[in-house]
Order: sequence, then structure tokens, then C-alpha cells
Amino acid sequence: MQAKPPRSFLANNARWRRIFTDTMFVLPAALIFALFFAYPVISSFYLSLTKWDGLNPELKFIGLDNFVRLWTDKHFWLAFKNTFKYAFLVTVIQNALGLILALAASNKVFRGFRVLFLIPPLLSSIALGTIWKYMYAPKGIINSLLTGIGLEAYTQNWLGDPKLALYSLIATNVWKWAGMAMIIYLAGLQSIPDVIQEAASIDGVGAWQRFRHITFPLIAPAFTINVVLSMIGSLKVFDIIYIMTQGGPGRATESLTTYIFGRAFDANKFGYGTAVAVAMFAVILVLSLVQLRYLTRREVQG
Amino acid sequence: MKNKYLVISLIILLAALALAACAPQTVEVTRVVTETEVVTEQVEVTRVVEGEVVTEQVEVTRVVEVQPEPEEMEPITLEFYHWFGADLGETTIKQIDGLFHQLYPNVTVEFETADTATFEQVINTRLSANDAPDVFGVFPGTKFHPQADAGFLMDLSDQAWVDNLLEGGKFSATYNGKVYGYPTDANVIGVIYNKQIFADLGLEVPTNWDEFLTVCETIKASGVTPISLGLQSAWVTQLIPYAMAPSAIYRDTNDFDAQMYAGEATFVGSPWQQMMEDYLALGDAGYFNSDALGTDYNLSTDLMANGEAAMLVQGNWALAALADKAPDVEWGMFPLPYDSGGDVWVSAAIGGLLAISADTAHPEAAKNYLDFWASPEVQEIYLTAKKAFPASKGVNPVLDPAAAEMIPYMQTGTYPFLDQNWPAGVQGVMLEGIQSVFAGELTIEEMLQEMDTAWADATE
Amino acid sequence: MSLKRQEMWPRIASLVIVLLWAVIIIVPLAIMVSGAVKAPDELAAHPFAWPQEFHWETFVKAWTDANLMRGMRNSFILTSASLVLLVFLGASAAYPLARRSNWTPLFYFFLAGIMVPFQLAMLPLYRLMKLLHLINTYYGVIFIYTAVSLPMVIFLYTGFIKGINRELEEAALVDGAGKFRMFWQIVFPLLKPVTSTVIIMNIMSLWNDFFIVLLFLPKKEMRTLQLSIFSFVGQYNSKLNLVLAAVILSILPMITVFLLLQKHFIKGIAGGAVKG
Repeated sequence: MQAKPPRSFLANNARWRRIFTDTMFVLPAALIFALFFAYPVISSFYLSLTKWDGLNPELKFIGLDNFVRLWTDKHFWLAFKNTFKYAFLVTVIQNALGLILALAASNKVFRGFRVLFLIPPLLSSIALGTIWKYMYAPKGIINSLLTGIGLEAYTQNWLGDPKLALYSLIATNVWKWAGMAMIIYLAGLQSIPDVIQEAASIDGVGAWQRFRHITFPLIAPAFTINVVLSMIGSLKVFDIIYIMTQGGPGRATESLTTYIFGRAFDANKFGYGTAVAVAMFAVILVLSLVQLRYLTRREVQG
Repeated sequence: MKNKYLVISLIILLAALALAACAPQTVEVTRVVTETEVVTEQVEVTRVVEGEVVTEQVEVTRVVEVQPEPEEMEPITLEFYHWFGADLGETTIKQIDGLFHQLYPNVTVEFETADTATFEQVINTRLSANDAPDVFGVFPGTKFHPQADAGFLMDLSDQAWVDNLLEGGKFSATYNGKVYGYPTDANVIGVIYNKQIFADLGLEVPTNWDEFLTVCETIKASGVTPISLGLQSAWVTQLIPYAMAPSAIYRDTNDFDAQMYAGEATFVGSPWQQMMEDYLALGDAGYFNSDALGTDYNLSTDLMANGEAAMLVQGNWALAALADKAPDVEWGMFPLPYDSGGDVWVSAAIGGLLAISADTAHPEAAKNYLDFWASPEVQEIYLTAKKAFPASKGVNPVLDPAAAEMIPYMQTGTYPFLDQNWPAGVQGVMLEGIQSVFAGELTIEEMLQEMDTAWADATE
Repeated sequence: MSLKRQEMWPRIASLVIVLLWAVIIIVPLAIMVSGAVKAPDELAAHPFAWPQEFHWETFVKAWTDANLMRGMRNSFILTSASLVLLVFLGASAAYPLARRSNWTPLFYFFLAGIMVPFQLAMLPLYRLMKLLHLINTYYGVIFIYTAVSLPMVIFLYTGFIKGINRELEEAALVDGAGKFRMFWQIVFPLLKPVTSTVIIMNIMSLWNDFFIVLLFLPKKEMRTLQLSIFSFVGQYNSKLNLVLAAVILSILPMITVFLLLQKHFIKGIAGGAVKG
């Protein structure tokens, strides 16, 4: 904050008017968000301090016991590890692929393909699960294709092998969402004036150089959005895991969300489940803020 | 030009809100019509009469009579929420609700369903917000106890149908001496087998474990997979131990669960060790489809339907799926003969209970609805479709021929599905454990230890 | 000439990449279509083979048995109303958040909403909805959809508004336009690319929502597409061919929307952002 010159009443009045207008811009959104989402979330934080089965009218307040317990809960840490592995790989692969696809499909002739690439994100989890279980089945499409081209040695038990299952789910996740990442990158790419691109190519700048120094800095906002969205989306992943493996085999694909679900509803430990959810929220929050700080600093200011 | 989008969007918003506002809020009032309908059909049926299986040619005549109500009654909508999905929802439940509406023209039943996992979340949320559906499904055994403890379930002990329940049905619907739900059906776990394959190989139904292993070996030698197993679906992993435990544990130690609750017994050091070893041995001998861990329930029934596998350890509910997938194959069923040096007991349990919300606005209509479910006619419609067994006396559904083969064995002795007596959370640990043991990531001892820990954790 | 050669390889590479990904997308989708047209016994026996007989009537059966017409209407009401609210509330809220640094705490407040698992809100939200008599109303679900999706929408708009040159706005303000008029007439049209993105992203989540409608809108006449499709899913015996047929029918309208947006999307970018 710089030192401010003393304000006259008039200037002060203008300031208040500005704040009032700004508030009017924000207010409708803030009200709906606060009432229908923020308030319920915050009020359920209390449940994480209780021992509660999710039903009984009587809640037993136990302070931070749930969190203390969490610390030594090896199943929680396993779910934690799986979740972050999943999120990290999905974020990296989905963004790399989305960017490559966007660069490749930026030409207008591929317009039809872009819509094709947006079909997978439209599929509900029931359809996605059905299709991909057929893909991954021991005698499913992928193994049949591998056998067909003479790579029988590479056939795998894609969902049944605990060492592979998580990666299979990552692949399905990327299959579903890469098109979405592509669209966001395309929006970024198309905001780059053709003039700049042309000027650079006439100057004889190579494709990689052009990408590195001209394209990438300008699509940095799109990059930020994509990274944040894919990271948060995959940290919160539930549907894909639930419909494909339910966290199995064993706990090989157990994520934080499936663990929360299992604790709260299967084991009737709603208080503890909420504590896991709160811990998860805190971790994602810190992580995202750090990431956002770092990413936005690299963006070209408008 | 710029305002165009604004205008278009506003039109969409207004149109959507207008549609939202004029959504049908009315309740259909069907005029009462007196009607008598006689349906006569010749069918061959397998019936259970006093525990005996009888196949007979009978003429079924049904008279559907509708009484006009003396006065116009206030229209009531009963909300009915249950986890049975397409198996029954769109056809059988619709039919039952339609018949109920004919009987009580002022009552309309609105049925809603979801998969079991989603169902549990929704029902618990709605219960704890005191906004439960009028009638809903609850899981038999310990699962519904917290709901009853919290006072969300209506005490149904005084209902007429209670006296008519078979012992097993009454047992799993009762908690602290009160009956909280109407048990709709009983189910068994057994070995579903392809009769053609058995005939081709000259095989007889095995009656003990050695014979069973010999049957497996013979089938394997013929190039067919002996047992189709879908370990990828977690719930499937438990079926073989569930089928073993009645003979291996409960036949001789009926109070094993009580001992567990009292802390006098543990899974470690119990017959579970041997059961799991024998379960694994089946896999080691190559009697399961390879990659069973990557095969889910759906694919495991496909293997049966294609004739790639000869046997499937499943509940009778799988027969409906098999009938859809392979309409021409003849199936049979026998209990998994894990004899443990004695008679083979069958794993049989109630499939679900219908409960009434304690604070329903329409207690009478809801009770009438359960009464209607308990009537032999409705029970027969439902059980015939579900290919399941009755939980009440005096109900003689047209049984699926394969399921009917289980009846004589059930006379020897039965024990419910194990989790119905377990505290919450143990079953989940077992399911994960079995998968891990098959994947070689956990030893049997470690798995049983985890189950003991979960038990202690749940009962602390 | 050298320019041409330089341009040729990237183009070939583009073509290869796009075609390769197209194949990867199409193979699983083809299974879905073939699963829908096969009879159940054929699907069990040969899930991956070319269908021996095409049972197109499955689509008709799926359409009528699940009452998909009703489902489409309800899904359309919920999705479109929520989208309109999201775009207008989101864009307008994002404006000061992007332009004024002292609003940053509020921005983070919204942002935190992206990171919350919905289940955390479920129980108190249900009580609130009951208190407000919003259960089994379209409004209730529209409000929830809006509240849950707003954080992401605001995040997207804020990012893009930051990238827009302020000069245009300042010029307009000097011209005496009110701030609201200036925003909707000058800034909002520039946001068309991000608006398309917002619409596409939220269509994907809202059109496919199962849980929120199941919880808050179980009434039969208000059932959405996803709940309707679920009538073919069974605990032990799913009608897979009908499920897949219904899913295909349910995404057709959205594909049409995308095709339409695609046109606007390109135009919007050509006529919008570049000017700024």
C-alpha cells in the first residue's frame, strides 16, 4: 500500500459510490453461493468434531479426536497417497495432451473433430463405466487389439492388477477430459492475434521457438485454468473410481473421496468421515493457493 | 447486436422459469370403476408346498375385482424408495403399485430407486433431516439398527402379517423385540450350473467337498472353466465364504457371532483360516477363470451364458440375468458342498425389508401398502419376478426351476448372510481383504487381523 | 519455398495427432453404439463383434419406457436456467473481483468453493432446503446448481477479465456510460470465448448430475434424464442395451448445442478479443 493523499469529502463519496457499485456486481452471486453452499459446508465442519453415526439425534462432541486419529490411520494415508498420485498424473497428462490437441486442432478444418473430442465429457458415469469395463476386461477390446497386432505379451489385467488399476483409471480419466482441456487451450490460442504468429513465421522463427516465446506466454491464463481445474477435479475424483473399481482391488484405487464415503455411510462413522473431508478440503485449499500464486505470477498482465 | 445475447439469454431464463412454474403439480384422480376381470391360463409350475417341491399342470384363474369407494377420498401420494432398480422397478413394482391403486383409488404410490450405495446416502440424509419417504427399503440385520435406534422407523410389531412370517424373516426384521420391516423375499447362495455341460461330462451334483473338487477337475480337463468368478465386483468376493461358513462355522458353533461380540472369539484362529485357504486353493488349482480379479459380476454371468464356464457361485438373483443373457440354457442349482465333515448347511437370508417412516403423514395408507405387499397374490407376483423365495408362510410363488432345486437342501439347515449380524464396517474390510489376498498383497492372517480390528473398532 | 516446407511438417503432424486421438475416442464410443443395437444375448455372447442384427427399436423402447421426453424437458429446464444464472451472476461478480485488489479475499472465498467435496454440504443443505420448502421444486435445484458451480465460473471469468485491456472500459466511462451499462455492453461481449467455455463445462456437469436431483427432486414428473436412464439399471440385472441407447439419446441434444456454440465460439473470438 502506498501512502494516500488526504481525501476530500467528495472523493470519499466517490469511493463509497464505487464500493456500492462493486457490491451490486458481486451481491447476487455472493448471496446464492453463501446461502446454498458456503453456509451448509461451514456448518457441517462441526460434525468433524463429533462422534456420530449419521442418524442419531444425539451427537457426541469429542473435540479434535477424529483428527488425532486420522494422523495414525494408515488407510487414510494410503487413500491420500493414491489421490495425489492420481491427481498429479492426471494433471500432467491431461494438460500435455490437451495442449497438443489444441495446437493440432487449431486449424478450422478440424472443427468437426473438436466436437467429437467433446463427446466423452458428456457421458454419464454409468455409460463411462460400462464402456471402459469392456475395454479393460481380460478378454476386452484393449487386450484383443494387443493380441491382434502380435503384442500378446503386453496384455494385462488392467483393472484386476493392483499395480495397474490406478493407472487404468487415470487413462480413463484422461480419455474423458482431454477434450475439455483442449477447448480451454483453444480459447487461449485463438486469443493470440494471427498477426503476431504471421510476423514471427515471416521472421523465420522456428515452430518450437514460436511456441516457447510467443504462444505459451499468451496462453498462460488458459494453462492456469486447466491446471487448477484438472488438479482439483482429480483430487475430488469419485464417480470414475466408484463405478469402475470401488477402490479395489483391495485398496489399490481407494481415493480420499471413496474413503470418506466408506467411513461415513458403510461404517456409520459420519463424524470421522466429515473429519477426513475437512482435512482433504484444507489440503486442497493450501495446495491450490500455492499453485495459483505461482502460476499467475507467470502470466502476461493485460 | 450486443444486446442480442442478453435478450436471448433472458428469454431462455424466462422460458425455463415459466416451464418450471407451470410444471404439473396436480395429482391425478382416477375415477373409480367397477370391473371384474377373469384371466385363465394353463401353466406348468413348480410349487413349494409345505417344503416339498411339486411340479404340476394347473389352470390359474385370477379374478380382479374392484370395489367402488363409497365416497371421494382425499388423494394421497405415498413415496416409496428402494434400491431395487431395473430388476423389478419398472415392471413388477409398477404392476404392484397399479394393483394397489385399483384397490385404494385415492392412493398413488410414487416409486424411486437408486443403486445401493447412493440409496444409503440419500436415505440416511433424508432420515436425519426428518424428511424420509413414507415407505422405504432397509437392509436386513444390523444395518437398520442405527435407523431404529434413532427412532426413524415405525414399530410394526402389531401388524397382522407379523405372525405369518417364517422364522428367518422375523429374525432379521426384529430388533430389541420389535419388528421394524416387512421382509419381502428370501434368497440363497449356491452353485448355479449349466445342466448341459454336466450331462455331457456325465457329472452328478456333488454332495461333499471332495466330490466338488472332482467335478471341477473333470470340467477343467474338458477345456471348460469350472467356476466363473467375478472378483472385480467387490461384493462377489464374499459369496464363496458366505456359502462355506454355515457348514464350516455356524452348524457347530451357532453362537460364533455372540462370542465375537463378547470378545471371546476372533476371526484369526477360527475356521475362517481354513475357509480362505480352500477358497484360494480353488484358484491355485485353476478352477476359476484366469484374471478373475479383472472380471466383474456382469462378465462372470457372460461367461456362464456363453458356455465358457460351467458353474457360478451366486445368489438366486443371478438367475434372472442369466435367463436374459442365455434364454435357451437350462440351469440348475445346488448348495456349495463345503461339508466340513457333516451336513451341508445353506446360506440363505432375507433380501430386504420394507419399513415405514416413523413420522409419515400417511401412516394408514403406508400400513395398507405393506399389508398389500404381504398378501399372497402380491408376494407371488414379486417373488416370481425376482426368482426368490418367500419369507412368509402360505405364499406359493412360481419358483424358478433352478432356484427350486435348492429347497430340499434348505431343510437341513440355513444361516443368514454373515454381514447381517456383523457390526458396520467389517464387511467392507473383508471385501477389500479378499481381493488383496487374491492379488497376493495380503496374507490370510493379515486379512483376518484387519477384520478383527474393524470389529473391535466398530464395537468400541 | 522454404516457408512452405517449414509449414508442411507441423501440418502433417497435426493431422496425425488429430486422427489418432479421434480413433482413441471413437473405439469406446463404437462399443457403446454396438452395445445399444445388439440384443441382450448377443451382447453377452459377443460384446465386441460387429452386430449380427441391428435392433434399432431399442432406441424407441428406451425413449418410451424411460419417458425420456419428460426427462429431456426437465433436464433442459434445470440446465438452461442454471446456465443463464451462472453466466450473468458469474460474469458480473467476476468483474470487480478481477479489477479491484481489495476484493481479493472474497475471490478466495469463492475459490475455496471449488475445492469442497459436495458431500460436505449435503446434510445441512438438505435441512435448509426443507426449511425453505424448496425440495421437489425446480427452483431449489437451480439454486443449488448455481451455488455449487459459481466458484468455478467466477474463477474462469476473473482470469479472462484480468487479461482484457482496461482502456476500452475507461473510454466508455469517460463517455458517461453507467458502470452496469458499460460492463454489459463493452466488457461482456468481449468475454464470449470464456462464456462458451463456461457453458460447455457446466453443461457437462449439470446435464449428467444424478446425485443432487435424486436427493432434492425425486418427484416423478420432475425426473431428469439421468434418473430416467437409471430405470434400466438393476442391482443384479441391468438392461445394458437400453441403458446405452438411452445414454446415446441423452447426449444428442448436447452435441447439437456444441455444434452451434462452436460457430459462435469462433466468431466470438474473431470479433471480440482481438479488437481489445
